[in-house]
Amino acid sequence: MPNFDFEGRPIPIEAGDSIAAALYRAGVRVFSRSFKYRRRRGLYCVTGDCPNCLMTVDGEPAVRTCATKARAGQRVARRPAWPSPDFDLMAGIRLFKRFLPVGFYYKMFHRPKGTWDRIEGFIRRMAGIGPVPLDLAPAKRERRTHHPDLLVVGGGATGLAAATEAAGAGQSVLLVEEGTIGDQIAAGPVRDAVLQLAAALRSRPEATILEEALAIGVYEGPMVPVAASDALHLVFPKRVVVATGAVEEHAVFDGSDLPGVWLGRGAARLAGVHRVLPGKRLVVAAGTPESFDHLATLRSAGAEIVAAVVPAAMKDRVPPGIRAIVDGRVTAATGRGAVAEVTVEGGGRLERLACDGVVLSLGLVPRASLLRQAEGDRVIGAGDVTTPGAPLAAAMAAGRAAARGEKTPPAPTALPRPCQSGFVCLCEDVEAGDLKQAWTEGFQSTELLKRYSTVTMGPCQGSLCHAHLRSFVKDQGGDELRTRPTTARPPARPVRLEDVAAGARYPLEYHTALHDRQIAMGAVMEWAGAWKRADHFGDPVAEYWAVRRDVSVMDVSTLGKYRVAGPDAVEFLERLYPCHVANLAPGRSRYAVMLNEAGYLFDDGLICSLGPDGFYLTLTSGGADAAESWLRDWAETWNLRVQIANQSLSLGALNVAGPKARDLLARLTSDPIDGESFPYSQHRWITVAGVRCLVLRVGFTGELSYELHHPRLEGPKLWDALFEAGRDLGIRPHGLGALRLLRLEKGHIIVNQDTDYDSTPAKLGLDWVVKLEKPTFVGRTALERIGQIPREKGLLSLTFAGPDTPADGAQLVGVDGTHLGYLTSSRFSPILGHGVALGWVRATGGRWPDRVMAHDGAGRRFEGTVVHGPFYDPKGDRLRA
Amino acid sequence: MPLLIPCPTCGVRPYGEFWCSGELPDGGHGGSDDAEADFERVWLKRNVAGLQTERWFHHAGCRRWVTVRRDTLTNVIDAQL
Amino acid sequence: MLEIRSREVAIVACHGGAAALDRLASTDALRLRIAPDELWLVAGRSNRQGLLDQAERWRATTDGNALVVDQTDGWTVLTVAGDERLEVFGRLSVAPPPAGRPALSQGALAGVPGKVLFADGAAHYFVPAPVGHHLEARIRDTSHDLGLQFAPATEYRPTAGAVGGNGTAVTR
Repeated sequence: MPNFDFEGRPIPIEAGDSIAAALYRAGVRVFSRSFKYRRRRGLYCVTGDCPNCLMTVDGEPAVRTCATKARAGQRVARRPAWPSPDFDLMAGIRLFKRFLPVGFYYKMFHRPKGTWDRIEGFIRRMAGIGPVPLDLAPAKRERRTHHPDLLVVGGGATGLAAATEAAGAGQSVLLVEEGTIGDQIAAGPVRDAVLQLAAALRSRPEATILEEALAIGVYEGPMVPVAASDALHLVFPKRVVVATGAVEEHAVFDGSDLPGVWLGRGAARLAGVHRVLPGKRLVVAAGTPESFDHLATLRSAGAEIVAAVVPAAMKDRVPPGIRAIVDGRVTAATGRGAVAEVTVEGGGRLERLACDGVVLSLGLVPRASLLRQAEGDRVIGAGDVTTPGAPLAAAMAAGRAAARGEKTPPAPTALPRPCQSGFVCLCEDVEAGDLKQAWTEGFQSTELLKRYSTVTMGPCQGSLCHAHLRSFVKDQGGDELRTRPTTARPPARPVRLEDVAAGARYPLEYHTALHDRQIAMGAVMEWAGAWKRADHFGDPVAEYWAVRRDVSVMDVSTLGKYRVAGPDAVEFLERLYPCHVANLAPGRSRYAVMLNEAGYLFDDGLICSLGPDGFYLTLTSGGADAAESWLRDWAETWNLRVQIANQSLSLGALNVAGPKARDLLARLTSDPIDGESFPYSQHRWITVAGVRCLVLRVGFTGELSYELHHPRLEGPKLWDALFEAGRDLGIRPHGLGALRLLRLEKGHIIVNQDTDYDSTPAKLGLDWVVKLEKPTFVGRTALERIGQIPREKGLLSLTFAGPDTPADGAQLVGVDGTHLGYLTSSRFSPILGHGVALGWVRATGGRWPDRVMAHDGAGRRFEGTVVHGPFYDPKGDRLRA
Repeated sequence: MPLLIPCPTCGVRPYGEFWCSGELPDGGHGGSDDAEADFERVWLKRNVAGLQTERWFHHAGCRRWVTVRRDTLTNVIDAQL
Repeated sequence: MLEIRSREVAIVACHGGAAALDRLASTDALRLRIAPDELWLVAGRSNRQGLLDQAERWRATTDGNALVVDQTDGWTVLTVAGDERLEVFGRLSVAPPPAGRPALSQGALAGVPGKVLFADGAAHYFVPAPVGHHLEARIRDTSHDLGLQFAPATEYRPTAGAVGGNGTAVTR
């Protein structure tokens, strides 16, 4: 006989067993311990709606064992307790109940100061439903998408009828069922109908059935994500039929959470489907027509029915030979650890009945949380979820109607009788008394009570207790608004993060064409936006010196690169940029910044005039992608005749920098590159190592630099040629680490490192890139307006004596102790022998400070001096060579 | 499908493939020399609960802009302008 | 049998007025209309210069203000062939496949902006070259249960013709 392991015990599995059924048959009675008070909890609903049967299965916590098939080899366990879950000493916490009222974490243990910090850890360890399995590798689930005409949620008779109707009309149908179709229905006409419908549906090509598939929620669209064992299915149906059924009304009275208290469907399921008796001597409280079917099932399974508590209108349905208590109510259940006696009140009398179980079938509450997440006509409920308790034929007719798009108005469901005592919320251990306490504290609506007491916020998400919450508020005098159902939100059932993350486990990495070459040379890659770029190649200091003294190559392929052409190209760029463009002669390049309409700088780069071929724009790597939206938006808004081509990804770029850069290039080209033919801040078409490149002379690093823009796939060829030819020149590659230092020594900003979202050119010391005399450009009006306000903040250049220098982010304080700002970039300069930095500094009384004190996070202080102009080679002789 | 944007070239596509410009002023983008009008246009948004004109850039597709009118309460796009 | 292979194509982008682009004819290239003002000439990699020449001739004769840009190096092309190719598409794209053949779909594929050309009996994925490796890995992972085979790279010479987007307008 197959079996599974339960806390070291082998448990035999019979055909069709759920884990819970097999455990119950083997004598397990305590299935879990409650969240707050560690109370014993046994099987209750057996339909997957309550939290009582949650156990850890194969390392995964919070598995609903009543809804999970038992399989050979499973390892099942309850949350560890001392000395054991059957006898948990921590249940003694009930003695300290008065220290743990509703919302105690807001009110208790906060005085004296520091008490909460000490006690919180202890409380957290004690509460909860189980440890997170940190050693369990998340399953790698994929994503699938579906676009059916109809999605049916629920594989009962109603759902199957709806799916069959739609398939018959030629529509594509997807039906999802939480469990296995028909598995949890006792033998009889309903089961036969369901299995027959399912078999017929499976044979239709238009229909797909997914079992063990959980609909997580209804999102805008509608879109319904369905978590199944193989994948996360994103379903985009035209319409949805929700046939998720109903759950029996939750019973709340003294002792109602004891093991031995059953909901009718659950007890009948255990007896009828799994052939396990819930108890030998049962009291049955019947309130619906189907409860008598449950009674009959229990009786024929061999239980002795001690009494049937029924409303007067149904007293004729009680089978002969069973004692009927008319118009009575079960008001208490008592026993040591399990039900041994129930108290029934009726006709002014109180009667105690000895028994080993009480089965309550008081009413049906729609399982409507999924349905309530949607509005409109495209998501329709049918069956028990709108009209609970309807007979089989009517339920199937409702399903067919829903498939045709006909909405059935939901039957008004009465709220349960307001509870006076007992556990309202089994998941969170919220008692009726807690709700009363919260009400007196002023939380007087369903939404407020929910948030304060956490009722309905557990794994069942209100399946059982939501109706009681509403009935409590109504009983306290709440009006319609206060009694309103709380907003239903996804997930309708608990969902694993690995399901939500399905198909998303790849971080998206953008690689340049030199990616592999750089790694082969020892590059340490780091994230730069969505790109992987080299930070250094093993020796960032040597790479820095290679740029200052010899020659070095850096892959700058990530830069934004755009071609702009057309009769209105000049007009377009004049309006877009704050600098002059019309006077840029062919062959010349100009540093330019991009401002938004508020006058704030958000990107920078070069404008190169290609003469009749228009312009070539370079922009920061971070802004490369978004620049296209900016350029196209304005071109369209101004209705200008320009053509814009984004070449950011089809071109690569290599920066050859250093005093020997010209010597190196001269070995690879026969085109003229001497200082006179090709001056600084200009560009030329040069063939390097057989590759035709647009070469830009740039000054970011402060050394003689040539930036080779080339067709992307030629990058490796250029790279190899440069390194081969430069061997005797001391050539090295350099990465972002060296670059950040090199440019800092020149005082050059890096957008988003040294700029804020509201950095005007003036604040950055870049007044010279703005030509306010131009009639118009984006941001001009804003700059004029801002220019009239005395400027109080600026990005200043600072030096520190060294050799220790403050880090990025160090706070700046004035000589009089006022807080002035912080450093955006700060490094020690090897060539200058002192620290260099850029930082935001506030003016005091219209005056800028000469000296500041930098405070880093470790409590160290550094004296800084404000300087003007670039730190290194202020006249720029080296880059103009 | 969730909020769908009607791209004139690519058809109706999910909104995640687009960048939204946000609320568009009555006269569209673009300059006003008058400082007051400029400030209002750039900084003060009406945040209408109802029909709003806005632009969407299909960054994952054709990389062009489309101007639509969307009801901010129902997310129904009733016109492509 | 489901097969994926890398393809070598040439792509020359022509940016110009819509009417002028409508008049761009070609007997040996596939014309993909990316946008009203952008058309791609697509042919086998070996025909790269031929496409540039055709584009230049069109510019000279039809739209002097047009811009012609060689975008070949910016894209990686992967072809998925076989009966389950639409299933593969469904696993990469949240939007449904376009109707009609040949057809062009532009949008997000597994988080990457891409274009899928349904033509010549297969699905051809055009993705930005820097993330070609990502899409290949995603296709491999998401379709391993379909028996996907990797075949060696070849040149793709699409059947000449014109394919546009499936644009629809929302009317008042």
